[in-house]
Amino acid sequence: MQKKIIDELRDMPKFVYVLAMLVAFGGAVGIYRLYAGLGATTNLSKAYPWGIWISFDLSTVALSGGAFTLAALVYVFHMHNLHAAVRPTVLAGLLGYTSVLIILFMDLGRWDRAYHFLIYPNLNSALFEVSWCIALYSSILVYELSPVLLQNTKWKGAIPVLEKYTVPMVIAGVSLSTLHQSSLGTLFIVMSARLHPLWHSMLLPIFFLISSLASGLALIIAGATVSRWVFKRSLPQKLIAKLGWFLPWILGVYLVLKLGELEVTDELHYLFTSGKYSVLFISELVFGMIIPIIMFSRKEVRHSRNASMIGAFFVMAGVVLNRFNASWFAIQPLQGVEAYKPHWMEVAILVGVASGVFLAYTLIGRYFPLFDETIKIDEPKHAPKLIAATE
Amino acid sequence: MNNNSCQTCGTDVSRRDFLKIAGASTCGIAVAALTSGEALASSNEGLPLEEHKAMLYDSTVCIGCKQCEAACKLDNNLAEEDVNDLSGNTFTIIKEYISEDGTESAFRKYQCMHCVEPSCVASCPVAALTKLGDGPVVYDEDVCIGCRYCMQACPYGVPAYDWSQAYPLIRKCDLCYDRPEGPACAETCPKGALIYGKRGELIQMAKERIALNPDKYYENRVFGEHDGGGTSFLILAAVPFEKIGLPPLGNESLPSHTHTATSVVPGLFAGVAGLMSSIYIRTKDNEDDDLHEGGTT
Ligand code: SF4
Ligand code: SF4
Ligand code: SF4
Repeated sequence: MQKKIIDELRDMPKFVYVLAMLVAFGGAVGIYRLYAGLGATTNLSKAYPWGIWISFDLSTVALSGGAFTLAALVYVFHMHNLHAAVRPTVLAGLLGYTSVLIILFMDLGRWDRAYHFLIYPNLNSALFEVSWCIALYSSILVYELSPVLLQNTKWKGAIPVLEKYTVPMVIAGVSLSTLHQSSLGTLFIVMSARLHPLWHSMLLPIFFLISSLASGLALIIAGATVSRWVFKRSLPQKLIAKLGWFLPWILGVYLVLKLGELEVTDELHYLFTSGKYSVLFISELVFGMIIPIIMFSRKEVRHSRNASMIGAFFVMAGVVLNRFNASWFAIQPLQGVEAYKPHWMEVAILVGVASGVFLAYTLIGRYFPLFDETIKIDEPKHAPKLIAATE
Repeated sequence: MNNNSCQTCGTDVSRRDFLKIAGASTCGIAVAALTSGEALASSNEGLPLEEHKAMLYDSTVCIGCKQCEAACKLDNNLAEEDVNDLSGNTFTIIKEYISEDGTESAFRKYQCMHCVEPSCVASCPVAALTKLGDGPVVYDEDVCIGCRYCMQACPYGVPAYDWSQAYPLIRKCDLCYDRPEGPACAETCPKGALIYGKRGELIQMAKERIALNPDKYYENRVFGEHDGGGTSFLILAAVPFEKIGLPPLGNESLPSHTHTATSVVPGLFAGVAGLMSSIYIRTKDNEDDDLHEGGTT
């Protein structure tokens, strides 16, 4: 037995060890943060009460949007030929949300009272709603993933029972996601005094929702290519092309709404006159929307694995930049206050958690039937087995 | 009924099961919607606005002696510190504005404005901040989880965090709501620049001052009568309000914007769930086509 474990460990790729070390280091710093308080371990201040952790949370939730988008397409819109992507994407979503929950916990000044979310509700608070939705949706992701985790265990008898309720669960998950993806944007509506007008808008909830659809799809596309390198498993290119087909439409709507909103509120002039902010905003437009729209409108790009991946990275970078802008870069400094730069401990904890996500993904991909569906795709008859139920 | 089960995958979430679940969740949401309406109503209970506790600060009378700062520290047991902003140990601070050419100057007392519709109260996820029926916006230090959303949400930059603590709390002025004599700062002011009273009467008084000395006051306007939905800390000044750090907020309260977005939540949830359910049922019939065509690419 011992020998078997040692052999197994030897067999692991080298980067697994690097990830494990980063996780351990981040974990140690995290424990110190809980012990010593935020003042000693972060550069947060009165002028910048939120920092890189919130930017990370927003970005990760947006990227994890792939899980609900895909679940809706497969289970609700009955596009069963996308089914092969479900398991890897749901796992990515679940790990993404888990990392968000860990970082949120780190971010609470009174983490010892995190459960107060449950017992002291303020139904008017967007943050209350977001935290509830994220917690509930994470549980739904566990549910959606459970067949993968149970399949090769002695509890596999539970799978048919679980699968019977997959569709209602998916619908609940899609509704919860619609809510919290958009409510994350609502959080920033109240901050009109500090957030630069290029970003501040009454449409923030809609912007956040639409961009999460785009970045979620992009994550599935990029993930498929990366998993080919790591696991030698991937999705058929035809499928990737199909996902890519949606992107120009979604990004197009996003682009038109963003510029349209500036025009309507008479803020279009900020586009070229706001120095650093103009650069940030135009970068979002060009790299995150215009370039990928052009790329994914072309059939050659959609059907090329590498080109699709590059396009997907543009989309994700654009959305991540947007979240960092809304929560950090475009928060205008106050007079006489130094702008926020994260403390090294903030970064160390973040790197630790992110490494944990990649580590968990690698290990689960290694030991659980995560990519089973990738083989079955050419036989559509069996593909939708995951939701097959007892007749 | 049987015809409804998915032919490719044999799914048999029967329509009846399905509707049962959808129906149950919709009912839950309806209840949530009703209770959230109630919560809103109850937060508006209390004295009429004119009778709320309030303070009037006349910047043209203030001489910047900072005795109010000292009185506040004494009354609230706050440590001395050298800062130029509100902080965990400074609930109020007097700052002087001097124009670049030195011809214009004014004092401003910074403290919680005790907004009529406070952003901090609307934002706090655990309702640690509340507006009392008679005006003061107060904080329950046993409930706060330290998310610091109130700090982000307050347009006046009031809530401060006690960063030096391992388990920090939000600190801010509470209008001395439990002090029978009223605010310590107002009581101490030697010049009468800071007057404690009922909101309606103080607005009246401020307007009389303006009427006596037309054009002395900026825009002949009381800051806080309507700004950002109104405040209980009212300010008169000779210089433009922006110059003494008061943001231009318009007359609508900030939470009213957010409320538009949060109030649609229960409906949105039910709507999306309903839409998804109907799409689920409708697209079932088409799925064979979809499968064999191989999609849209
Ligand atoms: S000034 Fe800020 S802290 Fe005070 S009541 Fe208004 S929003 Fe709340
Ligand atoms: S920091 Fe405390 S008081 Fe402020 S919003 Fe968060 S829980 Fe409420
Ligand atoms: S009202 Fe009380 S707490 Fe507020 S500034 Fe005055 S003395 Fe301080």
